[in-house]
Amino acid sequence: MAEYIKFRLRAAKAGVTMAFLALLGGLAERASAERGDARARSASAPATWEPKLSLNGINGNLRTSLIKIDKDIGSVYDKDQKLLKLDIKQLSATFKTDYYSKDAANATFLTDKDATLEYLGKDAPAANSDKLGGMSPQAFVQGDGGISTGGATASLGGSLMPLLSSADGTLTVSVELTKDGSAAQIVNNGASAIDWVTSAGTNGTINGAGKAMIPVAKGDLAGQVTIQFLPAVQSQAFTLILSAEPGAVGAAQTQRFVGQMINGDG
Amino acid sequence: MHRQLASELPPDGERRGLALSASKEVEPGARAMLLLADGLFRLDVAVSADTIRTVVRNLSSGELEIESEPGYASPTVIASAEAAGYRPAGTRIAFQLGGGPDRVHAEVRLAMLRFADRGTVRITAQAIVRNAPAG
Repeated sequence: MAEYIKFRLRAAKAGVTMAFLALLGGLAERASAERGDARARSASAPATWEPKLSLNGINGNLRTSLIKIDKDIGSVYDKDQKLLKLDIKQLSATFKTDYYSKDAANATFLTDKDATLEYLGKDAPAANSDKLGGMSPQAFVQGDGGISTGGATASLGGSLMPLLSSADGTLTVSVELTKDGSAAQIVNNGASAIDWVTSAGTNGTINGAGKAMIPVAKGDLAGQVTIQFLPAVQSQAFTLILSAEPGAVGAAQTQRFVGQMINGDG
Repeated sequence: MHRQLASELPPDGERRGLALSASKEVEPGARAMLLLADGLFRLDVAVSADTIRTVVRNLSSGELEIESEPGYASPTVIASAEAAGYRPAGTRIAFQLGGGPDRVHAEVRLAMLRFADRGTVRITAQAIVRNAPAG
């Protein structure tokens, strides 16, 4: 470094102004302040220090001070270079162990476009879930669902309690307990009329989107009824067996209902 | 005394149809007549442990041909947790019998509920009986 400065001193042609000296002082400070930043610079930065001072005509203490400053700057630069090399080496090792290369990342991860094709959106329904008819998973046990079973407990004067729906969704059964007894409400979810006949000897017709109330038992007594449903325009039939029994002894009068509906064609 | 519902179905082309429905509550091991189609068949059932046994008695003059045997796992939908306590199950059986133009095809579905508190089983059956397809 000292030889190089001597060479530069011999080659210098212009005198040094006070402004240039001030600039030199600023350069030294900036070199120190940017020491930390230098670690983040690219590894391809040149590792040489080229002072461009011209000390021609400068003698005495000022010259000595400037040379010392130049040496200090060179020393700081060399030290930063060593730190940079060390950091780059560590970063390189980290990149190799902790990060994928571009090719490896492409081979490992899907692009946003490919992920859209591969995976369901947050709220998108699965194609096979559409086949379930919107019913909850617990409603399915196995098979194609020709038999549906439901149980419910109704309180005296309470609201209608959902009991079951036929496996194909055509009929929905709810139950209630009134002072007159237990009864079932049958809703025809289809568009065609459905005739019904019960083991109690009663019968009727439920129009499309209509409903009917069918007694199950009188008062708080136990009872059971079998009901046949016969759609007018379809080659199928439904059978509902429905029973009601007094519920557990407690403050409120209740009735336990259990029903099973078969639907089939032939 | 045997009680069942029997209703005529709308014809399927030229095939007339009949729907039979009945339900019986039986003790395990007991055999019970569930469906009766006069001059055609009688369907008996017996429950033993987890097995439901079906017996088709041919009352016709023609040959009985079982098309599908009942199995353990049958289509069953449970609509509520309260119903699961009754351990519902079901099965189906299909057969043909009768002779000549009176030969019929029967599609029978059986549903079962267990009443553990009184140790009984309720079996419900629905049969749809139609003239057998020509040919």
